[in-house]
Amino acid sequence: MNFPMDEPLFQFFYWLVNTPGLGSVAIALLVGAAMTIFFLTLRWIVSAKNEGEEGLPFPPQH
Amino acid sequence: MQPILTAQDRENLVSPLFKFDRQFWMTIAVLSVITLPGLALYVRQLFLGLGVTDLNRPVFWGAYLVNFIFLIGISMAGTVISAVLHLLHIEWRRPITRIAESLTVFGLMTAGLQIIMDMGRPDRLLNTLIYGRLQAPLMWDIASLTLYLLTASFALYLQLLPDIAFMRDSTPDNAPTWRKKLYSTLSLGWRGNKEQWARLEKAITAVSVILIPIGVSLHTVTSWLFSTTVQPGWKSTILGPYFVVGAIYSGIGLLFIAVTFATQYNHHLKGYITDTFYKNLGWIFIVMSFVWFYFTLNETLVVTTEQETLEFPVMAAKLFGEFAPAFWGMNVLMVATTWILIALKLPNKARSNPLFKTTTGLVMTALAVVTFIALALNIPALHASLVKTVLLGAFIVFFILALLGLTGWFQAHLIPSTVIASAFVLFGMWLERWNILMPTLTHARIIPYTTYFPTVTEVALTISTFGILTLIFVVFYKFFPSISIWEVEAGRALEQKNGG
Amino acid sequence: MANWCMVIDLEKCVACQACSVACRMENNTPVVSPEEAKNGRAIRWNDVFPLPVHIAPEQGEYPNVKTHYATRPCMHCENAPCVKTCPVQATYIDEEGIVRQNYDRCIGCRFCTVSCPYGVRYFNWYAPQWEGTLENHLNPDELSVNGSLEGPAVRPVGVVEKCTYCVHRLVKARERAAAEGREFRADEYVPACVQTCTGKARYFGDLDDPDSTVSQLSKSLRATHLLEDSGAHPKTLYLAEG
Repeated sequence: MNFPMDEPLFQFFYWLVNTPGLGSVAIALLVGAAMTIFFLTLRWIVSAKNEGEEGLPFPPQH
Repeated sequence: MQPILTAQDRENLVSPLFKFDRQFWMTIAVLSVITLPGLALYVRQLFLGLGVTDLNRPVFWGAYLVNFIFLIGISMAGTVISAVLHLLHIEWRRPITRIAESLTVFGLMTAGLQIIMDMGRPDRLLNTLIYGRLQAPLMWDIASLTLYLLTASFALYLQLLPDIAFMRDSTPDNAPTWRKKLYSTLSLGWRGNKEQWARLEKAITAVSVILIPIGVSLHTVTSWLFSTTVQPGWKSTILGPYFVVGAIYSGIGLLFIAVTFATQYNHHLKGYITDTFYKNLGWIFIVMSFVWFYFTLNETLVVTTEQETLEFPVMAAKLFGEFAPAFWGMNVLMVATTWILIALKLPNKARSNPLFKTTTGLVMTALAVVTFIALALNIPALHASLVKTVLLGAFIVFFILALLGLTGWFQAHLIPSTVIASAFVLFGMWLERWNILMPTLTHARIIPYTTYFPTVTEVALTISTFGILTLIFVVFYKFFPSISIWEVEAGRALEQKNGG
Repeated sequence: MANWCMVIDLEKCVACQACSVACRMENNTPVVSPEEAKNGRAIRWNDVFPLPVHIAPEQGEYPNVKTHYATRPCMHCENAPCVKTCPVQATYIDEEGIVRQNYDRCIGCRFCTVSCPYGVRYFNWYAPQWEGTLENHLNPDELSVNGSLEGPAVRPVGVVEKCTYCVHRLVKARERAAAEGREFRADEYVPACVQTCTGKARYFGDLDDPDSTVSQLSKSLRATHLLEDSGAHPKTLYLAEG
């Protein structure tokens, strides 16, 4: 094989993709980040305060 | 601001959600009857093992995996289409965004079920989350599917939020308390002020932008499950985009069918989803069909021309071997689809030539079906090469005459024709997934060639899957309006502004 | 560390299938009914089949016909496709170059079976069954690594299994050497198929030891691999006929 596996960097990469559990960590990070972003977005939308009229049925046209 | 939603609109869109009439219970009953045998057979499979399927060595994957790719495919388009149309500010998207986005969520849920059905040890499902390895393509698929499911659900929820608040405010007094509670909890205290609307629109745009790459990634990664192996027939660099194209193609088909199903189910929706939608999305459908043919030609022509020792037997099985009925069946369906779609765009004029009579078309269709079946069954009596050639020629003539004869009928019936074309695409794309998986699996390198045909268990579970998909669809739209009410209002407001 | 390797001399092989039977007894591979076997569900970690596979095996005209046979254990590839595609590392290459299978972790997704170009991996479609008294003659050996089954004890339904070069024999040989207070020698370990081979067509040893029989044979002009173009860097060596 002519893959540069004797270089520490590539050994690290191989460790990264081959270690059981790291894939789970990656998925957990992905899901965690997505859920956090979604949750924060929802809070950001709903928390909007506006002194003008309420109960608009659809977005006001610009 | 003028009230744009009339009392009639409320009657059409809100009232059916609180009427659990006979039609609803009948639908649920029929779908349950379709779904239950598969579930019973799945329990049997859990106890006995995957031996109840027709899987063997080397055909280690079968109908469940075909269903998995198919369902991922049909689920992808809904959101991608609605996201792209949203970003392009295309007005006719408004009534159908809800159904499109929900199809993604439901399709992905049922696709996940396929993986569990296919596992030899579903009890060890959690192992993928404990020992997950990044190098394995299956982990990429799990990551992509999870992210897509989350994002699509979020997009659906964002889009639903103002409508949930609307439902909260217009729940009839006699509705059960738990439904009032459900809406008031899910609406998150949405008040519909100007700033909330502005933020919601920004969020929807942002989600539309990120949904497109995630959707593309999911289907590409699913193709990598196959193209990263060294098996002949799968070692293809265009499998990724081919899967994406096929996904959008079949997804539009499902969208047409789902929208038509919804309007048939609740006749009042016909006032909101008009012919314009069928005509405009039809154009995208035509484009996708040509892109799909382009990719299919690439896959087929290259391998057929180079005739490499390992790759060609797989292709030969599709071109004139045991997979020929599935392969050519797929192509015939796709050609028919493209013609129906094009016919709908051609000028409709009265034709007196008997060739263009509907009856001629129907007779020719019957003849074409009979000749195709005769060719597909591979009857030994017809093995003389001249007989085969004559049959093949006859089929081509019948097929062309059938399409010509039915052209007038297609043009006169926009919605039925579109639904027929969509059904052809869905069936054709299922066959396409089959044609990608099975010829390679049955033509292993140093294992004798084998055959595979789904058993009763696999067929019943496939039917169950589609039963479950429809069941989720029906139940979901008993709780939430199937047409985005606020989008319809916004569309009307825009029309008034532009018109006045 | 050793790099275990098998050499199969096809010139000496008489296709008697003794290796296949020895493997079955040593590793407790389940038997299946003739109908199931016909449907491609027989489990033969060590398979014997005519080559080439996809055309009529008989060559020449009667009475001068001949058929070539190959015997096929796992190739224990250095770049094993099965190891690369396993989502949970239920299969892995150990430090001594043996591709091993963790039966307690396998989720039965069959990605490895699909990606193996040699078809050496087998799936347990049903729970294993034995006819008559066969069940009383199972190999009692059991190899567990960190509490997970990897040895010849009977595998449960729904997992993938494969040739392990009889790795439990290696463990046993090491333990015996340790108990007797001496160094372990490479020739104390041979898989069951090598031990039983009628024509002495199979050799086993350490490929990293330049003096071992397998290293010497690997330099032979007849030395070749099965499907060398598969990209998997197969290790099990064949000495070609002729």
